[in-house]
Amino acid sequence: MPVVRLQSVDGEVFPVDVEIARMSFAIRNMLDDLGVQDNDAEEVIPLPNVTGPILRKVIEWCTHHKDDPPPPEEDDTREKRTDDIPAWDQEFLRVDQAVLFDIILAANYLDIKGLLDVTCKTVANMIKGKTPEEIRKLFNIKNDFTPAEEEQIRKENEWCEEK
Amino acid sequence: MDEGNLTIDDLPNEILAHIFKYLPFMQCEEIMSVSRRWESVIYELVGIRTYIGRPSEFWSLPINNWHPFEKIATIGASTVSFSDIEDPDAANDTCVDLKDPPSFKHPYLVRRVSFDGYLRQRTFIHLLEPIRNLAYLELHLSSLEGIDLSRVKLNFPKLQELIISSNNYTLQHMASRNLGQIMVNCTKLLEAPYFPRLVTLRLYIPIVVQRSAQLLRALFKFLVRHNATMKMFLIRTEVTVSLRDIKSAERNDMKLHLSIGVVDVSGNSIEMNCAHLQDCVSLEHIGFIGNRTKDNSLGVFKPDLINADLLPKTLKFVEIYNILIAKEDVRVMAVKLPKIKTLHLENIGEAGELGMNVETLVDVLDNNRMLKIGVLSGFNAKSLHCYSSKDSTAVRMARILLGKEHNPSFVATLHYDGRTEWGYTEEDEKFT
Repeated sequence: MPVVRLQSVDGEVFPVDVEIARMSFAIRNMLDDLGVQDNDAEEVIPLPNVTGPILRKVIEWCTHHKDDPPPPEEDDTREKRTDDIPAWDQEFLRVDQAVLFDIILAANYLDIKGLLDVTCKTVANMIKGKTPEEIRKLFNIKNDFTPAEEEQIRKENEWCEEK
Repeated sequence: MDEGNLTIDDLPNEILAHIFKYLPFMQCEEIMSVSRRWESVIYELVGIRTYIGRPSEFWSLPINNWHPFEKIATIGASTVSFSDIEDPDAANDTCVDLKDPPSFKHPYLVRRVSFDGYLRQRTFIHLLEPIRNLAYLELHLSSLEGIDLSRVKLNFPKLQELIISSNNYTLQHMASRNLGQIMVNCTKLLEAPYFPRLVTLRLYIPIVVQRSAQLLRALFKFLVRHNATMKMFLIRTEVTVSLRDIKSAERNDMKLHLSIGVVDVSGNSIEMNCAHLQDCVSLEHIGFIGNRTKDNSLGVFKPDLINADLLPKTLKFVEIYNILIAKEDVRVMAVKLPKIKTLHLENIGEAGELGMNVETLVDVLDNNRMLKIGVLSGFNAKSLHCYSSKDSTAVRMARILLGKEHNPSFVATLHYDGRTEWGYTEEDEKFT
C-alpha cells in the first residue's frame, strides 16, 4: 500500500496509507496538484493547522472508517437525526470539549465530511434539551445581552406547539 | 495553538451553523438568546421556523406566535407557514401594503414553505420566485383558489417533497369556492415542471369526474417523468362527485363532511390502474385512499384497482384504504412484490372475488419476508370456509382478521424468524 507522510504543525510526521489520507478532500487535492506518484514515499505534506495529538486522532478515525460508503444525500425536508452515531465513534469522541472542538476544526480544514458531521452531531447532542443558561454554563459563554433584550427575544419566541 | 482554552466560540460561523442544523426547530429559536453571536448565526446561516399571518379555518396546530407578514423581511427564516395572509376582499389583509409586499430577508435560507388560506397570484410569485433552495412545498387547496399556476414558472431544482393538502377542506368549501380553478391548478402543477430531486408526492385532491381525465393524465406523466428519484406517492382523492352534485348537496343540506372517493355518485368509477405506475422504477411507498364505505360494499362490485401485477417491483410499503381489490390482485401485492415489507389494506371488500383470501395469508406466513400486514374489513370469509386445514397459524390469524370487532389499529407483525404476532398498535405509519 503506497504511503504519504503528513506533518503536523509541531513537526510530528505520520506515515499514512494514501487511501486513508485521500479521505481528506484537502489532502486529496494537494496530492492531485502535486502530481504525487504512488511511489513518492518521501513526499512530506505539511499541515500547518493541525497539531500532532489531533492529527493522530483524525488518522485513527479515518483508518476505522476507511471502508464506509459515501454519506447519503442530505434530506432538507425534515429534522436531522443525531441518535445514529455509531458506538465506536461515541467512544472515540469521549474527550474534553477543547479536544472535540480541535477535531472539528481539523475535520473542517482537512475537509473530511464524515468526521465533521459526527463531531457536530456530538456537540448538537450536548446542546439538545438544555436551556440557554445551561448552555452558557456548559460552554463557558458570556451572556452579552442586556436583560431587556433577553426578555424581548424570549417573548418573540414563546411557544405553544404540541410536539 | 493554546489547546486548553479552545471553546465553542473558536469555531467559525459556518461550523456553528452546521451544529445548529442538527437541533430541533424549537430549540434553535430558544438558543438565540445564548449570545449575540449565536443569534446572528441562526438568523443569517440557519434560519428559524416561522408562522406568518393568522390561523385560517384550515389550520389545526395550536400555535400562538403568529407574526405579521412584514416579519419575513427582518428575520432569517428556513421554514415558513403562511396562513390567511390575504383576504379575497382586500380590506382584511394582514399584508399591509399590497403594492409592495415584503420579501424574505435571506431567500437562500428558505427550505420549507406551506400556504393555506386565500392567496393572490402576485404575492405567490413575489414570495416564491427568489427561492432557489426550496426542498418542501405544501399548497393547501384553499391557496389554489386565487392563483393561476399556468402563468407561474416553478423552478425549484432542489425540491424533494411536493404536497397538495386538504386539511379541514369540506364539501361546503368546494361548493362555495372556485373548485374549477383548484382543479386547473392541480393539473398545471403536475403538468409543467420537472423537479430533478423530487422524492415524495402527496396529493389530497378533489377529482371532479367530468374534468378528471386531464388531471389524471398529467399525474401519471408526472410520475413517469420523476421515476428516477421518486420513492413515495400518496394520493387521496377527495369527493369525486360532479360540480352539480356538490351544489345540490349544499342545497339539500346533506351531510357535508368529506366523503372521499374514487367513485362518483352516478356509479362511473375512476379506476386505479396500476399500469400507470409500472415505469416508476424508484417507488418504494404508495398509498391510495378511496371512498368505499361499508354500506356500499354489500352488493357485488367490480374492483376499483386493476393490474396490480404491473406495480413496480421496488415497492416496500403499500397502504390502501376504501378501494375494492380483487383476490388475485391482493395476492400479487402480498406475495409477488419481491421487496414488500409492509402491507396495509383496509375496507377493500370481503365478498365474492374481493379481498384477501386464506391461501394468500398462508403464502405470506410461509415465505417470511413481510414485516407487517394489516387487513381490516378486507378478508374474504368464503375462502376460509373452503380451506381444508383447520388449525394452521394462518387460519387462526384469519379468524381474528374476520372478527366482528374490527379495530382500525389491528396489525399483525410477521417476524423473519417465522414468529407471528398480532395485536393492536398505535396508528404510527398511516397517513390518513
